[in-house]
Amino acid sequence: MLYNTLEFAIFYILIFFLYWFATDRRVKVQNLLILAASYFFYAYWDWRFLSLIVISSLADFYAGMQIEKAPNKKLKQLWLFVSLGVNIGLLGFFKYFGFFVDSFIDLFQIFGYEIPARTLKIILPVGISFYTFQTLSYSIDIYRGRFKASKDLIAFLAFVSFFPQLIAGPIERASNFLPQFQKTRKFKPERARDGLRQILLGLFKKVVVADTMGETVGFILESPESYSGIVLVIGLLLFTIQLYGDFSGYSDIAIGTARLLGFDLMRNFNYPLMARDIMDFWRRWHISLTTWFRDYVFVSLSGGGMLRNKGKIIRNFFITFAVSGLWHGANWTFVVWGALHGLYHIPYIFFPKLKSNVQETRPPFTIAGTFKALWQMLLTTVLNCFALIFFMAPNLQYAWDYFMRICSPSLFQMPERFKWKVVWAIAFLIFERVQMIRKTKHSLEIAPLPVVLRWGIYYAMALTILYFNYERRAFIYFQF
Amino acid sequence: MRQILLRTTLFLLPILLLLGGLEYVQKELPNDYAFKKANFEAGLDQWEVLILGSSHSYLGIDPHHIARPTFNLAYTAQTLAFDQFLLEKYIDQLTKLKFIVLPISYPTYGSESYLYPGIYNKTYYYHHYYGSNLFTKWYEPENYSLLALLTVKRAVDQTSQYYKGEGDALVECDNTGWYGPTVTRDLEENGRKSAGFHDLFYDTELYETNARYLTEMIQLCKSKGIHPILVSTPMWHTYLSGLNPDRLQHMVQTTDAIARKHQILYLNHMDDPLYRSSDFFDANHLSPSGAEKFSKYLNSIMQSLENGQLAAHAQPFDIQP
Repeated sequence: MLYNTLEFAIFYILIFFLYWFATDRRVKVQNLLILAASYFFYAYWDWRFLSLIVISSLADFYAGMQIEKAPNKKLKQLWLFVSLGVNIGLLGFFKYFGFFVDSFIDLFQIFGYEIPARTLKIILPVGISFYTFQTLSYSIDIYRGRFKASKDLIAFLAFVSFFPQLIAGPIERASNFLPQFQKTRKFKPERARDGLRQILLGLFKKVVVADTMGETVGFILESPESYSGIVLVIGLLLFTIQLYGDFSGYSDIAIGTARLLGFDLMRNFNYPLMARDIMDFWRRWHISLTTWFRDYVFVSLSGGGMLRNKGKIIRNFFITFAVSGLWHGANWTFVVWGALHGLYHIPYIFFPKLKSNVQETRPPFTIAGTFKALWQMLLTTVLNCFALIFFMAPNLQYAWDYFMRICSPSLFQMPERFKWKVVWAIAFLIFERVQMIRKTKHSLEIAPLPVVLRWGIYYAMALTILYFNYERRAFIYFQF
Repeated sequence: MRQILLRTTLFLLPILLLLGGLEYVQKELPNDYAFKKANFEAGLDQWEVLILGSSHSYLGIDPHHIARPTFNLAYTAQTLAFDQFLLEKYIDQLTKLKFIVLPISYPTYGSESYLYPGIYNKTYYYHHYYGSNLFTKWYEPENYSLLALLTVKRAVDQTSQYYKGEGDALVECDNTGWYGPTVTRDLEENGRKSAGFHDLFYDTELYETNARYLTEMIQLCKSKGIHPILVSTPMWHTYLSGLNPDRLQHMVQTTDAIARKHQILYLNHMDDPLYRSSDFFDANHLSPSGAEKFSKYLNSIMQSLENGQLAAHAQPFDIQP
């Protein structure tokens, strides 16, 4: 059930009315409804994997209580390992089993040993990387003493499976999200209006921006050998925008639909295409995952404090980003993508002054300042695009061939196709830049405008979405 | 909350009205299904030959070159379930029917077009025009709404095409149900792509169901004294070489076994060297010249069968094309 389908619209409207009008606004009944709706939403994809969410949730609910109750650190650790074992076990089996077996076979083949290739064909349950991380943070936070274990099973199950963000996040922290299931939710008109706007914006980003870019990207990726170097570069730029439009569009819809039900989800994107250095980029891109890795991997590797040893910091960056790459997909291409981002961080460790002043330029703008900002953004985009070659490639050979084709004289030709898409991409980037300077949480914060103009914008967006919604591509991050 | 609901409804109302209007207009536009149905039903008491099947026979068998009243009821992605539905619906009204041509191609046993996603799913048309209830998910809006099936963009494009006076382009077939495209496609590239495309929705679990549909159609025809003829139309080598060899072998062997069991003809011309590149519209569909060649050949087979010069159960090697 994709967000840009009639099925989801009908499903959501039904849940919305039941939620506010048939539950007498009692929290427990509302939570029960959310739970039932979320399980139905998930089962609509594949009912067989519903049991995995239930197992993961129950294991963490029980482990959380045991961690809290445990009289000593050893017992606390034991229950934490139970929680980690269940979640990482599920993730490891369903997402990485085939990958590791194949990698071992390949490794042995390098040394001349032939191992009969007998791998299991395992289907990846949708959303597993997201909800397992969400429940893991719950157990770890209880272990660290930052959060009290929940005693309300229904609220906890609803927290893990909350349908607006179940499939692709934002990966919420229990400390922010779980308490929202335990208190009375009120329908606030202003928040609801903002939620509706954010849904509209999310659909626009997904259907009009990401899917139209995706059409061209699909052509280029299908046979890169038939395009010149410059077109392959355009393909990378369009893929960057597609990925951003697709995922931030999804996040906007998730935040908007949650808000209509009285929940606040964390912000997942903060104009990342405008980032002025790689560190800045990671503060703006997929914030819920980046902060998750920072808090639960990087900080754990650093022993919970600030490290002074530069070698260890570099090691920790590499490990964190490589694991983050692997989180995206069971393929060496994602590991390389992550490792490249780890590599990009090294100069900032040795030369902290390299970090750009990421505080947004305020008017009045200076010409020199604007050019400096543009140069920094361009450099960040180039580094990002280079890493994205590995992100989008099905295998390392493909990525290498793609890169080598870019590094050919055809890089300096005029692009033979897709010029209009480049214009569209640049227009979108300018729009993003303006929105960032406006310091809005999302681009449709247009309340001060006259009502006629606002409604005109809404209608223009809604009709454009309807017109361009012909591909109905799945959200890219659903596969992770 | 009331105010928000009211405003949202007010906002959505013009959009819903617009979509409703577009759905209505779209339903009124001419299309191949409506055109075919009207022409087919107008001659129910005269057709002696009926062509069923998918695009391979829709483009590949031209009734103009068959010397008896013939209608081509085949259409793109019309799989055996729909063939059987149409045959059962009309067989009693086809009082003069002597031959039924049932084309078999690579996707035949592994595909079911009412299971296809999105635009490839033809359920709506068979439900709307012929009353078929072959649904997998009855609740999917694509089964009932053209707008949901085609999407707004295609619906707007078609509507504007019609109102610009290009309505003829919305109907591609002629009044015999046949479609002869005037352009051609690159046979090399198309062969590779089409072969891959036909594996996209292929499901080996459908083998038995589709074989059963075919068998039931043959039995029905024979019970009514009608000759069923199984044919595989010519394909270009770039397409054939891109197909999964196991699936291709399964198709040929299954059809051969069914033909032998029921003592009917199976004319397999997939790899027929008589057909040159100019005889193809693309790597798996015949052009008008190819369709002419194949239809004339089919006509001669039907005449031989009727004259008793050819046994109904003769095998391909008995026949000189």
